[in-house]
Amino acid sequence: MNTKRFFITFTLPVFTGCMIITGCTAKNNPDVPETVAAGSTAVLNEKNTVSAIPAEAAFFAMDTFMTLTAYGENAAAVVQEGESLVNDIENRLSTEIETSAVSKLNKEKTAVLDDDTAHLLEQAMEAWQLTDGAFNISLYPLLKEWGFISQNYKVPSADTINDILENTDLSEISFDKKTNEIEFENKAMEIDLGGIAKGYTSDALIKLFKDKGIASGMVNLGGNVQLLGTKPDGSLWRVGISSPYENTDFIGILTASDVAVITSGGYERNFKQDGRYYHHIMDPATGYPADKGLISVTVISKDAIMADALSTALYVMGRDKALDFWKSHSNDFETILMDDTDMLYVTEGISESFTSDTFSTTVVRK
Amino acid sequence: MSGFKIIKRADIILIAAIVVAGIWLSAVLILGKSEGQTLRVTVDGKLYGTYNTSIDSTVTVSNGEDLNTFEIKNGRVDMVNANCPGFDCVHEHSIGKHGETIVCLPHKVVLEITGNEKEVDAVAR
Ligand SMILES: [Zn+2]
Repeated sequence: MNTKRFFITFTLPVFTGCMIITGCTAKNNPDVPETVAAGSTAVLNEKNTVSAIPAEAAFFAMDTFMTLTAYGENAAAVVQEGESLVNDIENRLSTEIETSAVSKLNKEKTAVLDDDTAHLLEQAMEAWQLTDGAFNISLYPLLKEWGFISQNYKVPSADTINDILENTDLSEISFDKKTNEIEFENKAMEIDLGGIAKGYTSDALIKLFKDKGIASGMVNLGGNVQLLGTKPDGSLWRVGISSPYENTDFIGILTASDVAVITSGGYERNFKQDGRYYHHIMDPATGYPADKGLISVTVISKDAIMADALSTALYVMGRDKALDFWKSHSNDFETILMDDTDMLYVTEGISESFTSDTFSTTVVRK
Repeated sequence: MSGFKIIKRADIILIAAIVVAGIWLSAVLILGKSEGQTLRVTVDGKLYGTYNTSIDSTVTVSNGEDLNTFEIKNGRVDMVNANCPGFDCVHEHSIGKHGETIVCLPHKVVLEITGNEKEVDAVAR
C-alpha cells in the first residue's frame, strides 16, 4: 500500500467522520454528493447562489444512455436545451433515421450539406489522413455485414469482406469546401459518422453550457465523457476508466478538468461464434475486428472530436504504433493504453493525474 | 497447560477479534463500499425500483415482453439474463461502486449504483 492510498483509505474517512460529528452540512462538504433523480430540476439554495446540487438530464439517444450534468443558475433549463440539441444532431447525422442528411447522402451518393455537417465530414476526412486510414467513416456496410447494426451477429465470408473493402477508399469522395457539395465517386460507398458523432455532440453540448454561463458541468454520452471546468468546489472531476474484467470496476481513475475522456474497447460489444469472440472495432485494413494486442484505449484531449476518432484509431494501430503516433502529436492528446498482458501505458502529460490500484503502469515519455 | 495460560490466550483472541471487528465495522461504515449502497433501476427514464445492495436477491424487471434479470450478491450487481437482441447488457461486468451503471439499450433499462461515498463522477467506457 503506497502512502497516497493509505491517506485516502484511513485519513480521509476519519476527517469526513469528524466533519459529520461536528455537524458540517452536506452542502459544504464536497465528499458527500447529493443524488438527484434523472430529469429533475436544479435547486438553488436560499441565497440563490450556485447550488451544490446539479441539474441533470438523463435520456436515451444515439443508441446510448446519456447524462448531462450542470451546476449553477439556469442549469435546469440548460440541460433541457442540451437534450433537444442532442436530438437535433441525431436527426441530422444518424444512419438509422431515413430523413437524416447522412442517410440521404448514402442513398443519393451526392448532397449539399449544411455547414455543421460539412465541417464534421471534413474533420472525419482529416482524421482518416492523420491516422493513415486507421479511422475510416466508410465501414458502415462492413458493420452491417457483421451484424453490428442489427445485432444479428455473423462472421461474413472472406469474399464478402474483400468486396466491401473495395468501397472504403475515402479519396473517392469529392468535397467542395466552398459549396459544401459532396459526392461519392464510388457509388457503392456508404458512410457513418458514428465514430465521431458522440465527440462532436459532447463538444456542442459543452459549447452550449459555456454560452449559457455554466462554469461547471459534465456530459456523459454512453461513456464518452467531457468535463467543463472543475467541480463547483474547485476540485477536479474523477473519471473511472471502465475495466474489461468482471472482478475489477476500473482500470484506474483519472482526475481532470476541461477535457474529453473517451475510451474504446473490444469488450464492449461483441459476440461469440465457433468458440471465437468477435468485437465491433473493425480494422479498415483487414475488414475483421482489430487484433493488434490492445484491450482498452482511452484518449484525453480538449478536442472531443479528435479524442473520439483517435480512441478507435489507436486501438486499430496497436500499442507500438499508437505510442509512436502519440509522440508525434503529444501536444494534442494524452492516452492510456491497456495491452493483452494487462500492462498499462500512460503518457507523461497525465501520469500524475492517473492512478491504478490494480494494474502495473508504465509512463511513456517523449 | 495451566488454566491461567488458557485465559490469557483467550483474552488475546478476544482482543484481536474486537480489533478486527472494529476495523471491519469502521471500514464498512466509513467507506460504505459494501453497505449503504443503493441500486436504482429505471425503465425508459421512469423509476422501477430501488434495492439495497447489501441484501442478496434476484430481480426480474418486466416491461411488456421485455425481461431483464439482475442479481445482487455480496454488494455487487450483475445482469444475468435478458431477452434483448445481442445481450450486451448481460455481457457487461458486474457493478458495485457509486456511479457505475449497467444499461440495456434495447429495453431502456438502467441499473445505477448510488450511495454516500462517491468514488468517481463518471465512468469512461
Ligand atoms: Zn440488454
